[in-house]
Amino acid sequence: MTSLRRREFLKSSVAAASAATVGLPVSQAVLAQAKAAEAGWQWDKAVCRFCGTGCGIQVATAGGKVVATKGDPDAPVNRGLNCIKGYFNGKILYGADRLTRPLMRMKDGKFDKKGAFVPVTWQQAMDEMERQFRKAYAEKGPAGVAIIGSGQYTIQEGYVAAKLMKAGFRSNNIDPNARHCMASAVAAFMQTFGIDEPANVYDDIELADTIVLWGANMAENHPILWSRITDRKLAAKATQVVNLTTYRNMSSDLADLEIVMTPSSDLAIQNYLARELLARNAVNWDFVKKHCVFATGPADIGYGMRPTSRFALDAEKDTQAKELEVTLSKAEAIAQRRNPGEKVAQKNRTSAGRHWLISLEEFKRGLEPYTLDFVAELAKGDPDEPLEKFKAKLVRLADLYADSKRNTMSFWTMGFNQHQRGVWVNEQNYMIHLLKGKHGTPGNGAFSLTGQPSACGTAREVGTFSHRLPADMVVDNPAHRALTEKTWKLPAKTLNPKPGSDIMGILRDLEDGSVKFLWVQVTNPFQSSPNANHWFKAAREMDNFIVVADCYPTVSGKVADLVLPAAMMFEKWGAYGNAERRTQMWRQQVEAPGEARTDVWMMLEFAKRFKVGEVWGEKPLPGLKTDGFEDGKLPDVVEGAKAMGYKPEQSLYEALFATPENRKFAWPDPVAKGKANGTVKALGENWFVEKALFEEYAQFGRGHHHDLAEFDVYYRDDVRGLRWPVINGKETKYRFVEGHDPYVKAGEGFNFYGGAFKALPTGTLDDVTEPKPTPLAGKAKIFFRPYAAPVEQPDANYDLWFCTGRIIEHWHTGSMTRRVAELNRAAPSAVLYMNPADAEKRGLKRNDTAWIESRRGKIRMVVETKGRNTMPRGTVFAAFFDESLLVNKLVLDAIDPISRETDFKKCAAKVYKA
Amino acid sequence: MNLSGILVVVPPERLDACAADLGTLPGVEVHHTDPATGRLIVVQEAADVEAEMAGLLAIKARPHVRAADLVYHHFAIEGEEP
Repeated sequence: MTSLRRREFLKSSVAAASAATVGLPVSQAVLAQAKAAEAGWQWDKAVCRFCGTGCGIQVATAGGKVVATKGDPDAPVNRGLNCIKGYFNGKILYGADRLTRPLMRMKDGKFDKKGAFVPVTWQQAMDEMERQFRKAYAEKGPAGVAIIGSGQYTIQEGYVAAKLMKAGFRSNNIDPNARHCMASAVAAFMQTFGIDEPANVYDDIELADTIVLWGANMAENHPILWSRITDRKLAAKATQVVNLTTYRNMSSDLADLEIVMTPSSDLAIQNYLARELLARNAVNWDFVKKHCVFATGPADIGYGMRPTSRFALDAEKDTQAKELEVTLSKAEAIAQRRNPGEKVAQKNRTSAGRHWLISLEEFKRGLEPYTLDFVAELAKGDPDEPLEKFKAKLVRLADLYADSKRNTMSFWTMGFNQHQRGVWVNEQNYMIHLLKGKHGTPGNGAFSLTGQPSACGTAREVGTFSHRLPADMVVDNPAHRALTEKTWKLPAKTLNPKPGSDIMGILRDLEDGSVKFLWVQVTNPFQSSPNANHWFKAAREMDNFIVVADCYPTVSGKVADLVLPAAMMFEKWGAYGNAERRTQMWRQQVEAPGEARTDVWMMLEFAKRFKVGEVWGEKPLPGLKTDGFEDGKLPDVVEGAKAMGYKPEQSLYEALFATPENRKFAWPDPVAKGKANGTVKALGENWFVEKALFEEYAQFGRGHHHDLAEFDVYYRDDVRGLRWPVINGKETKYRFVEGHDPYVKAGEGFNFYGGAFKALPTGTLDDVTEPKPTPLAGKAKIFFRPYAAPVEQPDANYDLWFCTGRIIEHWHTGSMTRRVAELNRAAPSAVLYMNPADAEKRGLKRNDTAWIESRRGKIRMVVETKGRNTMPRGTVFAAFFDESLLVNKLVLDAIDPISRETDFKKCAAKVYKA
Repeated sequence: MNLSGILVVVPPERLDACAADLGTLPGVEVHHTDPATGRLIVVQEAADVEAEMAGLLAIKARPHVRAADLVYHHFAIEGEEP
C-alpha cells in the first residue's frame, strides 16, 4: 500500500472507530475496515493520566509501543470522550528528552554539590543517596529527612512511600503536592463529617436543576464534566448554571448567572446566603434538628507564614509581620463584630483547627452582620458593575439556593481550596447544603472536585500527608497508631506521634537547615510552590541533598543534586482514585525506556540498604512532647521487634515489604494476561509487588467505611472502576444515606458516621464556656465562619490583585504537557491577562512585554487584554505552566493555618512596561 | 503525522451547514454524521500535538459548535510513519 493510500485507509478507520466509540451508527463494513487497520494491536483499559476527573481510556500497543489511545465507551465518567489533554496520554511517553539514566552532580569523579550533571549508574546513584541519607539521619534524626510526594502517585507508590517513611525511618516528613491542591477540602470534610471525601457522585450532574461553581473554572480544568453540564443544560432547559469567580472565564460562557467577586469575599457571600435561608424560613429544620449541630472556632489564626522575619526579604517584612498581629479593616471588623482599626494578636495561629459547639441563637448572631448591603459592597469584584445590578445577582443566587424544589449541586476546586481561609469557605458550603438538607442525595450536594488523578485515591486515602496514616487515621492519635502498628506488624511505639512538616514546611526546613535530605517523587515542587526564589536558594546554597525522580528534566530536576529516571504511567502497574471515590487500575502496557525504573522499585531498593537494628533504635526528635513518650526522643523498639521475630540485621525491604504474607502473591499472575511487570523484573523477584501491597493496604479500610474491592476485581473486563465503600461486591453511590450506604442502618435516614472530632466542648461565638465534651455521633456540623480579609492586599505601591491558575491545554507545571518534543519548538508562553484600562493606564497594549513585580520577585510577561479571560479592573491573572517564566516566584506563601494549603489565588503586584 | 477522531456536536438543524464549514478547516475531514442528534465525527490530520490542540480549539470556536471532544488518537513516534 502506498503511504498516501495507507493514510486514507487509516483516516477512515480512525473515523469508524471514533463513531463506534461514541455510539454513532456506522455500517458493519466500515467497522470491519477499522478492525483491519488495527490488526496486530492490543487494546487494554486504563485511566487518563491527567486531572482528578478519572476518565476511562483504552490504550493500544503494538511492537512494544503505545500507538493509539481512545476514550473508553464503557467508562461511566466520560462515555468515550477525552478532553484536549487526552492527546498527551500516549504521546507523552515518547518525548525526545525523556530521562533514561540517573544524573548526578559530579566533579573529579565524585559527587559535588557545585558540580555539573553527569550520567551515572544506578549503583553509583543509590550509593550516594544512601551516604547522604545516613549523614542527614545521623545528624538530625527522622525530622532531618523528607519526601515530597504527589497526588499523581499510584496507590501503591504512595503506600510504599508512606510505609517506608513512617514505619521504616519513623519520619512523618512526607507530604504530597496535593497539599497545594485540596488539603483545605480534606480538613473541611474531617471537621464537618468526621471522615474524608465527597458524599455525591458525578451522576448528580444529570439530576441537578441548579449547578453553582465556586472558584472552579470547569470549562478549562474539568472539560469532560463540563461537557456533561453542557449536555444537562441542553437537555433540561430549566437548568441554571452559576459561575462565581474573581474574573470572567470560559465557564461564564454557559452560565445563566455570573458573579464576579473580590478575593475572599466568598466567605461573606455564603454567610449572606445562610442569613437569607434563615430570614426566609427556607431551612429544612427537620433535617437540621435530626442530623446537625452548630459549631464555630477561633478567628485569630494567622496566615501560616513564618512567625519570624529572619528569612524574609526586606520587601516581604510588612506582610510577614501580619502573621503575629492584624489591624482589622472596616469590613473585617463588621464581619467579626469588632472595632475597625483594632489590633488583633493572632493567638490561635498554632491551634487554628480547634472548634466547639454553639447554639442556633449564636449561629444566627454570627450571621447577623452579613446583610445584602454589607456583603454586596464588600464582594462586588468588577468596579465597573453597578452596585444595584450586583445586589440583584446575589438575591437571585439566594433565590436558587432557597428553592426547596430545585435539585442543587455546588462544585469547587482551587478557588475555595487555595485560600487563606480555605477550610472555612469549604465548611460554609456544607453549611448552606446542610441547612437545606440537600447533601449526599441524588442531584443534591456540595461537591469538592480535585485537580490530580489520585489526590483522593492516594494522597488522601493512603495517607501520604505529614499528619496522616491510612484510612483517615492520624499520627497524633494513640489509638490510630496502635491500629496501624498492629496491621503493619510493628513493635509498639515504632510510629512517630509528632506530625511532620507539610510541603511548605519542608521547603522552609530546607531554607533554615533543619531538613538535609529530600526525595521528590512524581512532582515538581520547585516550580509549583509559591515564593520560589527562597527554595531555589535553599536547594542550591544550603548543605543538603536533593533527589528528584522524574521522567523529564523539570525545574525541580535542575535544582537537584541527583535525578533518577522514572517510569511513566503505562510503563508500570498502578491504581488511581478519582474525586467521586472511584478506584481504577491499569496494567503495565510497555517497558520504560533505557534505565528508567518505577518509583516503587527505587524505594524498595533503597529499603534494602537499611537494617531494622539501625532505624528502630532510639532516635532524637526535637520538640516531641506527648503522653507515653520521653520528651525529645523516639524509643528504642529493637527488643520489641526481636520479640515479634524480626532480626536486627534484617533489611527494611524484608521487614516491611517482602514479608512472608506479601510473598504469597506470586508473579506471574493470570490477571496480567501476559503483560510484563518492570518492578518485579528489576527487583529480580517472583512476588507481585503491586498486588501484594494493594491487598495489604486495603486491610486498613475494609470494615472501616473505606472498603476497597479485591485487586483482581478492578481488572475484570466488565469493571470500569468502583466507588468505595465496596461491600459484597457492590459500590456505593451516596454516602451517609439510608438505602445507598450499607453503613447506614434502616430507620436512620442519614448517619454522618465519620469518627473524627465527634465530641466537642460548648461555647459562644468568641470562645469555649463549657469545656466538658458533648458527644455527637452521627451528626454533621454546620459551621459559622466569619469573613477574613486576605493578608496581603493591593496598596499604593503594589496596586493590583494577582491570581494564578491553570488553562485547558496545559496541566499544572507542564512537565508532561509541555514536554512533547514538538511543543518545545514553538513554546507557547504564559501571558498576563489584564483589563484593557489597566493596561492603558500603564502605557501598555496587547502583546507588549511588561514586568510584573510583587514583594517577592519580578518576571517579564506578554500582556493579553482579550482572549479566554476577561479581567475586571484591578486584577491580573497568569497560568503557572511555563517553566521559563516561573510565575510562582511572585506568589505569597501564606497558607490556610488549619489545612496548611497554599493560597495561590491572591497577592498584590504591580505591572509596568519592560 | 498524527490522526485524531473528534466528536463534534451542533444543533441538528444546522448539521449540513456545520459539516460543510468544518470541512474547510485545514486537515479536517467530516466522515460520519448523525442528523437525528446533530453529532459529527471528524478526522483531523496534523503534524504534531501542538497543531492537533490548536486544531481542536479551532473546531470548538466555529459558529454553532456546542461541543468538540477528542475520541481517538493515533500518533506517530518520532521518525516513524503511523
